[in-house]
Amino acid sequence: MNCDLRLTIWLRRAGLALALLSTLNIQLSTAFAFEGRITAAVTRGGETETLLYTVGTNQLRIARGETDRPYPKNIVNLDTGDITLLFPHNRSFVRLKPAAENQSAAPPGFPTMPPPPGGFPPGMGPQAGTMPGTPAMSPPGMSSMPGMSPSATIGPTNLPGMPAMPPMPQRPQMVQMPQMPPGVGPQAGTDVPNMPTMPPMPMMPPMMGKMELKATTDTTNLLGYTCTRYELKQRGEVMEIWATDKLLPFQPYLQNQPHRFGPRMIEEQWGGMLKAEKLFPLLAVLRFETPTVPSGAKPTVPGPERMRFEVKSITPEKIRDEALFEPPSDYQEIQPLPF
Amino acid sequence: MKTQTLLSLASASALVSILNFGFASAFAQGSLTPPGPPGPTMKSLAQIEPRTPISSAPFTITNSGSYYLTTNLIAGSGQNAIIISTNSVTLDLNGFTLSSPGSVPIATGVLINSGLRDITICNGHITSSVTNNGPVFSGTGFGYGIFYLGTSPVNVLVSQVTVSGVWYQGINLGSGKTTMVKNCTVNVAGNYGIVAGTVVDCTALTCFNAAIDAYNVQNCYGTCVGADYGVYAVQSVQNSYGYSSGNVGLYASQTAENCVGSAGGVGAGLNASTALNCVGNGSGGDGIDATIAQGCYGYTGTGAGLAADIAQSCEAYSNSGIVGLDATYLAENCYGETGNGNNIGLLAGTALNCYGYSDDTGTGLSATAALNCYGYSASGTGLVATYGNFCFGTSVSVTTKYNMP
Repeated sequence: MNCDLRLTIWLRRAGLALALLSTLNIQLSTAFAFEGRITAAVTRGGETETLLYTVGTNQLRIARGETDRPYPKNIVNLDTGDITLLFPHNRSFVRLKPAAENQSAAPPGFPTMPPPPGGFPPGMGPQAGTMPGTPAMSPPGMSSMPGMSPSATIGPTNLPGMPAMPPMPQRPQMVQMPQMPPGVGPQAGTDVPNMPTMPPMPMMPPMMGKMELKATTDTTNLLGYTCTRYELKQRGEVMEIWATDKLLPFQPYLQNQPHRFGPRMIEEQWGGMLKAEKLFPLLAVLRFETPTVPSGAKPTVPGPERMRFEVKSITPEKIRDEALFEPPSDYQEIQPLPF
Repeated sequence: MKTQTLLSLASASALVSILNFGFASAFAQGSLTPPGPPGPTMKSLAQIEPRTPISSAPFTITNSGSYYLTTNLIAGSGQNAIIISTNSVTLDLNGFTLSSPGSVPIATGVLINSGLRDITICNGHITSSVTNNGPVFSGTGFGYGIFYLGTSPVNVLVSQVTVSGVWYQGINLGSGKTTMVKNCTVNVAGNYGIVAGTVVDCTALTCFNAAIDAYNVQNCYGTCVGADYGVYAVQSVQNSYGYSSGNVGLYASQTAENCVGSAGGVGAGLNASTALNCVGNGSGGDGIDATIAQGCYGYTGTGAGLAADIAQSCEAYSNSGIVGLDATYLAENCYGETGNGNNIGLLAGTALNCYGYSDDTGTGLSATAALNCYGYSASGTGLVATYGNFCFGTSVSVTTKYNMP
């Protein structure tokens, strides 16, 4: 009797333990479905850099593939979002809280673009004439720009022994302007005499509109993962992103502690937007929109490419080297900037 | 003879009487008793030099007041040379040098404890031996030149101080707006160069992170050898130069005026909300990125020479990038040129009085609406527009024409 009771209790306990283990296992596998290595290439401005994502159970390491310089490395705690930046160039590291990600918002009190006096005419964007609050300028000749010799007054001038300002690179030689008919081309004044009234122009897009990640219904398979196509648009640029939710939330590679504000072009924003949606991109291409297509029509020819992010390989595996996710013992921790 | 003698005696007697009368009149009005013991005729040492000398390191300032160095000081390895731990302190380095031969790079030349205020540090040098060899920083000495702990200090002025060869940061006064660094130099810092509210007349060279980071920057020169900004300003930059090997050369969240920015990597040479009379030089990135650019010149290798929402009286060149001058909404009195390839010299939403040029097979000028413009292309289309009014080019492709053949 006692033996049966003990056996029953043991079986119940074992069952509970198994149930608990399986629950934990499900939770872990749900939270971090992917472990392994991802290799991606980023091409911009004619330069290509390789990014190596090493995904552990709850840690992520991002490093540059190139070895020509001691590039910083990122260690991300996937549970808390804390980021540790490793700086091999002087054997130091800094720990950043995830709040730093949001510090590139528009600065407080940042002036918005005022409309011209009287507002925009129907259907027109910014008009000819000076902007409000800007000094009147006389249109320059195209071969010589006004005020283009700032080097004489730039930089400190009252320090003894200051290094001399390096000479400005030679401006590329401009070609001779071909002869144009009188009144055609850049003129000495902004008002063109006897110019007939222009007909209404197509509506300009809103200035600095909020960027939004728009999902489409298009899907494709990239490297074995089903990806959905997303679009981002801003300032005449469009970014096409193929991303999946089966890997991990995207983490942009940081080379420095983020500054208070920074350039807010698509290149700097798209990664954070994907991360917020818990998506990982397998292909992202940023292009200029073709400008001469009439409003409302879909461009038939893609514009020139400005940036490309492309995942080259995905290798699921268990990452057992925990040292990858810790600063080396001989690295000195430094205080982050208080921004 | 006797008579003469008597006369002489009478005269002498009368003279003595007169003199006697005069003396009696002079001293008769006051007391002959001195008012008190004689006072000191020399000033005290406290009057001559009302400051506290510092002649050894480490030294901790615990009382408000004025302090000065009497000699060069060498801090021990891993030791801070001078620690300021109270408010209202003036520290005059007096032309002397703080140095550290140590190999433990955690020490600071002048360390300001957390949350202090009203501090002036001036007139001296902080040196150690960290050097930059290519991409790597190595050597010995201080980690920081002037630094703080914890909460950023307020009302701080650092002037006439040079910092050289530090592992991490040259002069960092934190995030407050009431700190100023003036007439200082930082040369070789493995992290940030100068961080303060306002930075004026300063130079920071060979910094791995931002050479100068401040709210406002004037008359400065900063170079970053890493992938950070050369000069970074939350508000405005004037009359300054910034270079970065891997990021934006000069960045102003609001206005950059009379500035030059240069970038060696994929960052823009100069990035500002409003750029006035600026020059930007990119390599893989844009020459100038701005919301509004006026009187600017941008050039680059493979990016856009100048990219802005509105460009007025600007000029831009891109050697092999996709566009010379890119004005999303308006280009007015502008010139854009592209060198090689099928690229666009000037690209704009609306182009007024503009000239676009393509040296190769690209388009000279491309706009949704073009007014009084000219486009040239060596072997492509000179001018392309949806709406064109009074426009010409080597060859023209305009959907809707006004006042054009």
